[in-house]
Amino acid sequence: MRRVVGLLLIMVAAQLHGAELDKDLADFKRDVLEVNKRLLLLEEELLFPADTQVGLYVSLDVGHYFAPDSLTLKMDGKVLASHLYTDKELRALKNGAIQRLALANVKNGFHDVTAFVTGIGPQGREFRLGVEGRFEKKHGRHFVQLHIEDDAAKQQPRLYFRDWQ
Amino acid sequence: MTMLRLCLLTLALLITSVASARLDQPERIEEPAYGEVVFYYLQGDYFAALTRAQMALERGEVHRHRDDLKVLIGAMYSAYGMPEDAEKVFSQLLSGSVSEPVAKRAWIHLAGLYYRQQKNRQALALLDSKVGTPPEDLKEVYLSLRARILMRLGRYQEAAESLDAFAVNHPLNAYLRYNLAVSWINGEHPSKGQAWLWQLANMPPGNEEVNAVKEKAMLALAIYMLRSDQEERALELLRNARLDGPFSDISLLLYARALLIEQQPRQALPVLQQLDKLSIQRNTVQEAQLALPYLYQELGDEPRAAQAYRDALQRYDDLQQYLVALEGKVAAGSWFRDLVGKPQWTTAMDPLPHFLPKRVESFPTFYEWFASLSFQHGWKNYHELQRQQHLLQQWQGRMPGLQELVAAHQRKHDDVVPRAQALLQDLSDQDLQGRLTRLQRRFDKAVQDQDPVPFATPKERKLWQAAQDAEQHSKDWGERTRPDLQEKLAFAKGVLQWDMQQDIVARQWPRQQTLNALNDLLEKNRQLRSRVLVAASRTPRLAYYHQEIDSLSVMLGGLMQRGQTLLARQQSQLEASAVAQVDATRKRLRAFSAAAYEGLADMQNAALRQRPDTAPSQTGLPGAGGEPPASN
Repeated sequence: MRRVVGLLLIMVAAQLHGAELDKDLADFKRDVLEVNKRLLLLEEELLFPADTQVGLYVSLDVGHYFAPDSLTLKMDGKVLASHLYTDKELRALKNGAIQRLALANVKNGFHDVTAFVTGIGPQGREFRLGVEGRFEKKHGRHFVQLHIEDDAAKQQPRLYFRDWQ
Repeated sequence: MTMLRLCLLTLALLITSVASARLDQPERIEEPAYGEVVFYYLQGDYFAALTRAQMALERGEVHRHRDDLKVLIGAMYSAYGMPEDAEKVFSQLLSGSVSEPVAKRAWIHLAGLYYRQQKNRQALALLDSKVGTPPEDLKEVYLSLRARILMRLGRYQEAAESLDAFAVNHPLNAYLRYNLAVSWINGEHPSKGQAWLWQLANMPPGNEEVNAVKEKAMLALAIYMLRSDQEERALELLRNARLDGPFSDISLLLYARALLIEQQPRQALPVLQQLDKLSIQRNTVQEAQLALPYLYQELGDEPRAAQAYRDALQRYDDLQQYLVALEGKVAAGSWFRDLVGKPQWTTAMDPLPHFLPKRVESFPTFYEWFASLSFQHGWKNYHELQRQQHLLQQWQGRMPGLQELVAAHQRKHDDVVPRAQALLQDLSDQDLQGRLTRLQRRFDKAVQDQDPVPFATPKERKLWQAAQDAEQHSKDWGERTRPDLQEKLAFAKGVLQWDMQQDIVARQWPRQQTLNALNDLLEKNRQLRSRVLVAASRTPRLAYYHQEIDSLSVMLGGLMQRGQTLLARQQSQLEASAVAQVDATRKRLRAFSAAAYEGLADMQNAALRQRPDTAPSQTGLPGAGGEPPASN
């Protein structure tokens, strides 16, 4: 008897709530998104104040000659980030997306960055590439982009750093 | 599982195709924040992408791609189950002045949203009146959406035209063609439907999804042939069905039916026996329980037919008992717990865990429901809620850390601010700007007066001073001064002045440069001072941090409670559907049992009528059991 009552309760409750559940879920998602945004903004502001913040980004243009497997980024001789790429991430990068690889705090002035990238090049050959760069951190947030693009003439990938601000 | 995967893929494609095909061409993104949103979006991580997009808008990080970002936000809201927010974004965007390509994208996404909300006519009107010719990169999205809307509206001919213009190798194409062909076969154009199904069934083999569509097409074709008296062709088709595919049980049942229709019961027997080995929870196996005794009857094996009926009844009874126990498990919540398992979360932005329905032994009972849109919708919502609960929990765990960070900022502020203020006061006391202004004025005056003395070397200045002193002395001495001495003095002074005047511009230039350099230094000093001033007056910002942390802590607590309630509601909804599924299965089983009893009774009846003097035990019918008839 208790089981029957339990089942009936489940079905009635589901019917009562079912109509509004989707709307309540959407409201909940909206509120969670808002809280998440505010918390992330606060955390970023506390951990990486704009005056010292530098963001390091990776982009991939077309990628016929190269598909990165992993990437290691050093700044001023210290490893700042390492990343192993998933297929989904690669697909996103090949479609023009940009990945934020790291956020760091640095003092104003010149800084050296080095990136080592491994991956698969033309004819399935394994590639290991390195590139060095230098940027001057000034007042305010600063963005540095590591760009990987195809060198059609050499049929090889080409890497370079560029300042985004 | 492949059927599930196929259905899931199809659902995913239907849900995300409008959104995901938007950026399938490489393009140059000028702003990192927008590129980052696209990075998450293209991986289907809408929560992370929406959060990043909102952060970018709040911080004003996106200018050039602002409209693109809004279209993306609208598309993500739509795909993420927030249709009202999506509509709001699109309405705002489209009521302003946006470029035509952006507007077309927005209209197509809005039409996709209406399609999901079953507002088919509105969706079609939008596509036809607002979009017209779609942008090249959105052509497939536009055509597939239009075809699906037209199919829902029953305008199959136009849907077919839309599909003809659609790339053949698109993953949605085969699925849409299948749907259209089935609609045709059941409607006005069975021959067209048959031709399309034939094409689909003969597609070259591909991945699991392609093979599953091929098989579905073949089965639909076989059913149509069986219905339209083309049994031989149906048999030919079904003979090639896979025995390990997602539809193997349906293929087996159909094959057995076709063989029975074609009066080939001997060939049908191993087919049904093969099917009989599968779980009785499957509809096809339940149905096969009735086909087996019929087949034995056809073979003239009455005892085995009767035994098959008894076996069927026993299996139906066992299944009924199992379903009663299953209902109990569903009501107690243990079935759902088993189904969900324990998701392994590592980070807040983890993707949803894979659906593992085989965790529960009742999987075959819910096989078709698991593959349905309604189940997948609820299942996805449940896991999304779990993920958000997990995220909120993580934030709650990090709140003390954030509070400590704010406290550290406060301590640093309290330590540095007095020193900074003392420094600022010191700078202010030194009046550097005033001093530089006065120096500049003196320089300007000397330049204007062509006065060489301020630019003299120390030696020249000494000589000039000596000459001035000597002149003064000679004036004091009056007539006692030798006349030639005054002349000599005037001459010497003139020569000195001439010397100093000779390269006056070259002398003024370094001073001017020094003044400029001082000015630059002062400018830098001013900038630094203003930064120190801003930093020293950050008290309101720190107060904001404290307030924000307090308010967010309260919100987190409230949201977690709401999340728990929603999780329970979503679970209840899924459990109620599961109960409804079990109920439907039980009703079907009762009908099957009734049919089995009827078949058995018919057999007994027939046996009694044919050989009334023979003991029923020889027929193997129930109730006989080898006992002598109670005739006397």
